[in-house]
Amino acid sequence: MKTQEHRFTVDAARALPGPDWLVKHRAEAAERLADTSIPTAASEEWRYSPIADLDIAKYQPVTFQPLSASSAFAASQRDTSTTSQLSCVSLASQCDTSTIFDSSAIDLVLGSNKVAVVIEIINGNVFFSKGAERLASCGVTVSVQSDTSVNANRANSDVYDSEGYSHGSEGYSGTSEGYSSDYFVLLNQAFAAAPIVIDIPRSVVVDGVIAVRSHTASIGHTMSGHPTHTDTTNGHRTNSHATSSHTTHTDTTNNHANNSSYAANFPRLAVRVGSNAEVNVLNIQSSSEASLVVPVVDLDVRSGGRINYLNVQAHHTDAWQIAYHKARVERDAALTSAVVGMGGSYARTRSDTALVGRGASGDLLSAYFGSNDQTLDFRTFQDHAAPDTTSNLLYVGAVSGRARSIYTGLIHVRPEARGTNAMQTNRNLKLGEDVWVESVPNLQIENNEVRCSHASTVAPVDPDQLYYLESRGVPTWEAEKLIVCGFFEEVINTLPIQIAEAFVRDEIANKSQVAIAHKREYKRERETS
Amino acid sequence: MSSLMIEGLCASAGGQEILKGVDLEVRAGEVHAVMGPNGSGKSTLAHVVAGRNGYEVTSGSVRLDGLELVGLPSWRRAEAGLFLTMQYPIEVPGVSLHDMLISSTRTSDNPASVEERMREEAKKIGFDEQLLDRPVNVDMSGGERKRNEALQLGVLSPSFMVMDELDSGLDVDALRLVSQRIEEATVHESLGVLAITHYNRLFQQLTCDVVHIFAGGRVRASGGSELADIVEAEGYERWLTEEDKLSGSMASASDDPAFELFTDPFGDPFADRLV
Repeated sequence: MKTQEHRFTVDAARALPGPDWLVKHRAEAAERLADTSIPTAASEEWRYSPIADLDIAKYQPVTFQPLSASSAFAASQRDTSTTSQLSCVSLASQCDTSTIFDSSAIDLVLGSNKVAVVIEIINGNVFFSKGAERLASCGVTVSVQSDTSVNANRANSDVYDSEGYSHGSEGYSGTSEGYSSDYFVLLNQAFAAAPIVIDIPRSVVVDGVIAVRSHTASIGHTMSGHPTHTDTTNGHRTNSHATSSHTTHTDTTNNHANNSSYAANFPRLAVRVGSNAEVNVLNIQSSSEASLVVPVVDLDVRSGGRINYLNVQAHHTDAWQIAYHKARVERDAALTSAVVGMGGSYARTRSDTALVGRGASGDLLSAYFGSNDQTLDFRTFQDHAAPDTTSNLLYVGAVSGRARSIYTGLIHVRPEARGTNAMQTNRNLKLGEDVWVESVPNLQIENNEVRCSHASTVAPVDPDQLYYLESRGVPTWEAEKLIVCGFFEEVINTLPIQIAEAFVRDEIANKSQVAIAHKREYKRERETS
Repeated sequence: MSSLMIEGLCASAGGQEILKGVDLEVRAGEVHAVMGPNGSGKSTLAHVVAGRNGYEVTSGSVRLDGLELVGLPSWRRAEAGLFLTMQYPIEVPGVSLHDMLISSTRTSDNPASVEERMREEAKKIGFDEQLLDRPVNVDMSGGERKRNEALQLGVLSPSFMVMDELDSGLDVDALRLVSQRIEEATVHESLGVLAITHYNRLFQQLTCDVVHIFAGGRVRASGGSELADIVEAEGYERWLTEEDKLSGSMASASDDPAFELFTDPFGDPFADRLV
């Protein structure tokens, strides 16, 4: 794509509102972006991916309201009133009906009494927030980092580790330094709204779940913190599998003012946990049209601390997601990081976990299900950089229709990581003749005293299991559905945020039901022709 | 009267004929034993009757109360009242016993009543109630899996049952409970049983009406329990032809799909660990 054609220019980045440090940060990133080209499938990291199909000129960055100091809604009284004002409108009413997930199902999860804090963001604007002020009393801040004061406080405060967070004055550039030459990380840095930052001070254990939902809506859909009840159907793009009843909409010019360009959104979340502190974070990504979403997530676990993180990717079937999750785990700290990948036309999640202190551990989980023409792409990196570290990766997925899935992962044991225990398992279920699965586990071991294993399977539904169930009188399609859902049980049972379990199970059941029905139809067609 | 009627059944796998004209009739409440040497096609008979994929029925019929089973998918046969207990019941990860049974067209749609039936049946055959919440057969011993088969028999209450070596891998106590349970079903629910077995001991609790000696893909002799006594005492020698012996040794030396011991996917290579 020729650079002059697209809208991701230095000027565009500079025009975005924000505090000085953020504006400066964006401009720097945008300048570097101008010298960086979109990756191609020729590079190993992007092998098998449809990155060549990305037409960046189709998108334009979302614009958002400048954030005032009060937008750091952690503990301000004024926020509470704003919150209650907003809370009467649920995000569901703002969402296009063609999102792959039933929005009310997401609302149900967010409505659980186990959820302590909910923050919902649409196109970079905080749209709804609840509960953050209650946690503030124990020093927990869940905030939009609109200025440097939060950081400054932290650096000077003794509730945090003495070493502080050495991520630069903004703090927000987080641990993603290593990505500084990556096109999409630069894109995120150049065009992101202020990040959501969850800070848990030393020894504080947050019981409930902190839920952050980031939604990408059509451009012009909702540009202020206050909901605007524009006609939501205008952003609707019928995909090839939608029913024909939606095809007669006349687009008004409001929504796609810039000649049918789609939203490009750059969510940013940082979760930082002090020594011996614990937090549960549920992070939902959704969208309502063929948008481009490039989320960057930083997870930072200090010694003895724990982060349980679940990312649910529920994008529109025409949306593209290119996500980066970067985690850093210190001495005796533990991370459970899970990705549920369901939506998107092309949805990629790169997940890097660095175990940097002795005894650090990481449980890395994923359940994914690709249908129709979806491509789901997972790249993982288990980096053992300290002795006696443990990582356990289990990625389980299914593909149906003409869907594709890609898993590539590397366990890297550095010379200093004696006593490493690392596992990497990727299991794939092929539901149909036209699916495509690539599974490439890798090991790079530079120390002899380690235990490492990797395993990868790609197989259809086991005919012997099917026969066993059928011989008990379970109809073929029911039996297949049970086996497909059962295939995911091990990983669902270990998901770090339990309130999402039923929701994930339901989605998998729905997707497998559709897949099996399609397969039966296809078989019948073949038999009759 | 209800019956499972097998007539002139010929079937092949991988182009090799395994069943060469089987005739058998099991009526309601009767117990028939099918005994025969390894590789004689006994397990194939069980799977062809149950409708497993991979076998081609070249001629003959299997009728359950007049309904032709050949050509029907397995679950239709089960729905009609047939139940197959497997020699090596397979693990089905992530699928609970309860969900499997509730999805069967033979059980009520009421989860609570299925649950109740499962608990009743578990008690009868000494199946640990804690195992009811496990995925089907996962991490169960061979004996537990066989009890599980008997439990499912009770819940599904079929009219005919084909047992593929239900007695192998069971300890004496379990064998007694399981065979008692089957006996009870034959008496009170008129269950008809076709029991493929190597051993007489199954029939200490379960009254056997007819014994069939099976070799070379067909029934060679039928009679009372005296036939089982002969097998116990001297083996199958007297019923085998020269051709059987020849093909038997050929089968054992090749990858012939007819040779159950090596090619039956249900054949557990660690079978002797299952006890």
